[in-house]
Amino acid sequence: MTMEKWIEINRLKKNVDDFQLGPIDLSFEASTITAVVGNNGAGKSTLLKVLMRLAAQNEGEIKVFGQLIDSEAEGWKKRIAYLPQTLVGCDSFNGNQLRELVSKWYPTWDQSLFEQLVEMYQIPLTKKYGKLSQGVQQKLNLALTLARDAEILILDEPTAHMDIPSKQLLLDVIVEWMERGEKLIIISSHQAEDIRKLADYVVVMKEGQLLGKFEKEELTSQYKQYWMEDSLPNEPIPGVIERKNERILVSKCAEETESYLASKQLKWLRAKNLEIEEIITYMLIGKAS
Amino acid sequence: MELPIRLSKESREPIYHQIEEQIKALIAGGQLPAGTPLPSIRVLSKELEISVITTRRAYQNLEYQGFIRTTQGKGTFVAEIEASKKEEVTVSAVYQAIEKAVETALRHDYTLEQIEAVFQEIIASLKEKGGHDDDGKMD
Amino acid sequence: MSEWKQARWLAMFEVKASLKGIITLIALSFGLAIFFTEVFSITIMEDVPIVFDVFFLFTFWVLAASFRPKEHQLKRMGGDIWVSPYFIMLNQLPVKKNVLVLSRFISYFTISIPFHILVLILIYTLSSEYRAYMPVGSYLVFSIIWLSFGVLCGSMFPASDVGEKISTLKAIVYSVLFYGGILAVLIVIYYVFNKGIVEMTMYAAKEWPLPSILISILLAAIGLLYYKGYVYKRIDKVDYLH
Repeated sequence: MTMEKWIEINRLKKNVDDFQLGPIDLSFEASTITAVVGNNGAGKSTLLKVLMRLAAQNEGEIKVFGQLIDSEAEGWKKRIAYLPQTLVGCDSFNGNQLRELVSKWYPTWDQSLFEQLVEMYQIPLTKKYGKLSQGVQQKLNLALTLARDAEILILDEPTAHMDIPSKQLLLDVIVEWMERGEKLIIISSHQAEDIRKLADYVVVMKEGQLLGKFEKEELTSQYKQYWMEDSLPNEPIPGVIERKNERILVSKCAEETESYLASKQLKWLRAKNLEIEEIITYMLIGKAS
Repeated sequence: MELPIRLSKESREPIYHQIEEQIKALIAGGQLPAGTPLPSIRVLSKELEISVITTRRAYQNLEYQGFIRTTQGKGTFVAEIEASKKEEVTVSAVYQAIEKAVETALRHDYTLEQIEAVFQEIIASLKEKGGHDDDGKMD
Repeated sequence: MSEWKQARWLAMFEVKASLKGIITLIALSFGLAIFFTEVFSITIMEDVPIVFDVFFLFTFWVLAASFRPKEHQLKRMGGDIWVSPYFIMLNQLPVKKNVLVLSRFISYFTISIPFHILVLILIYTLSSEYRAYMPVGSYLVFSIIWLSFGVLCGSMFPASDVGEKISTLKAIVYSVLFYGGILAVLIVIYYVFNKGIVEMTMYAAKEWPLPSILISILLAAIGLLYYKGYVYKRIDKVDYLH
């Protein structure tokens, strides 16, 4: 299994009116799925759009497959399939026309995969895009994006308007898609399930800044909640980020906290790893929801 | 195929190790006979809601220890293993389960003598009922 | 595939999708021809040249653009960015920049030029007055002048797809200045030369056919190249963040 860096972002900065993104240093490796999470307005979409060269950065550089991206050569773009949060400019086209327009530019286009997705989601291809419901529009976009079968897939909130069964189906589709060859997926999402079931890595963003890129279990093994046997002394405890009451505490560094508790002969009745969405909440707002 | 693996959020045991031990137990117990295809790393990761890095680590360890084998392009399968190795796994699983019970008792400030007494009591009551339960599962 | 071929493919895809606009323009060209020949005769044109000029300019400048599909037309996309949504979508696809730029102009002119030719042919066919005023040769020169005008000024529409950052207030001020400016130029020309510009082009076509053709085509080419270069530079400057 190679862990080749397919995307490298160095010292990236982008100013949009009074919002500042970055500086960001980040890389994405082959055969991984990374979820980009953060509050609304954290700059997730902006980051993905700059990555697609839909807006030029103010500083820094982006390399895709080792090449600096630029607007002259489109070769690197053929190797990325990008799904924007909302697809604009195609209300008057129907699914068949959009398929014709999109498939033209991808030598890797997989017609049978497209048909399979259309069948699975029951997407009407003869109805104008503008007349479809938001959920169906999103399904059509996904079919148009996944069937490009490019090596890199960038999904900006792909499931925001979808019903529960459709979301479940998509999880399976993405896992299957990942196994079609050496692939890389970056998915921005507010859905806890997408993160739990798909992500290997989690990129956390807040107010334009990158809080970090973490391996999922690196987070879930470190963030723990403890139910103590006795009331705790009122002194600071290493790693502890919240005390819910005098007997329940939450740590973001289990090792430090546990060795401290052990040294003070403080015992706990129960310890539990936090769920990934609880951890993200701590990271973004500094306390439990 | 879906594997009956359950990860504990409360265990201090690392996730990859939990997976490893449970697959070993399934193989040793005969629930996964030799040649059974195992889910791909990506599929198992989705089911268990963990990263492929963790799942891959578990699979690599299992492969290293000879419990599973990976054929390029075909997938991962349960390997042929000797009876003695199965035995080893079973024995170690039983030891681990009992060790865990003892640890729990110790955490609740039981002395070793008290624990021994509890153990004797349980054994005695099982004997009284007439034998042990064959279908009993180990967790 | 060559860039030209790709650009043509993309343009044709759009033309096929613009059927409604095309049919409307065909219907309009009949209406306009009748309007220019029946409602306005050349004699009337001499009396109220500015009104005639305004309609004529309108036909050869903005009319074809206003019947482009809605997605092609500029829309405010968050903040002060005015851009054609369809262009945003194309920009997300791996289309070579050159192909993207070329196709904008091809798809626009594939519709606007035949429309202008149709209007010109219909005017000449319907009006004996025009035929008497200009022999076929001169009318041909007159047509070339106005077709070139259609290219020179029409280029701004496909060029504007690429987007511009401008506040609503500025946009209003600019359009008032733009249309006011055109009107002012027409009025000034009328008072200086005592002729409307359409009448002047008729005169030029009759008196100096060759220089008229050369100058018109040259101006059209310069305009086209200028706007193509403009789009080429703008793509890298505009943020397509919406």
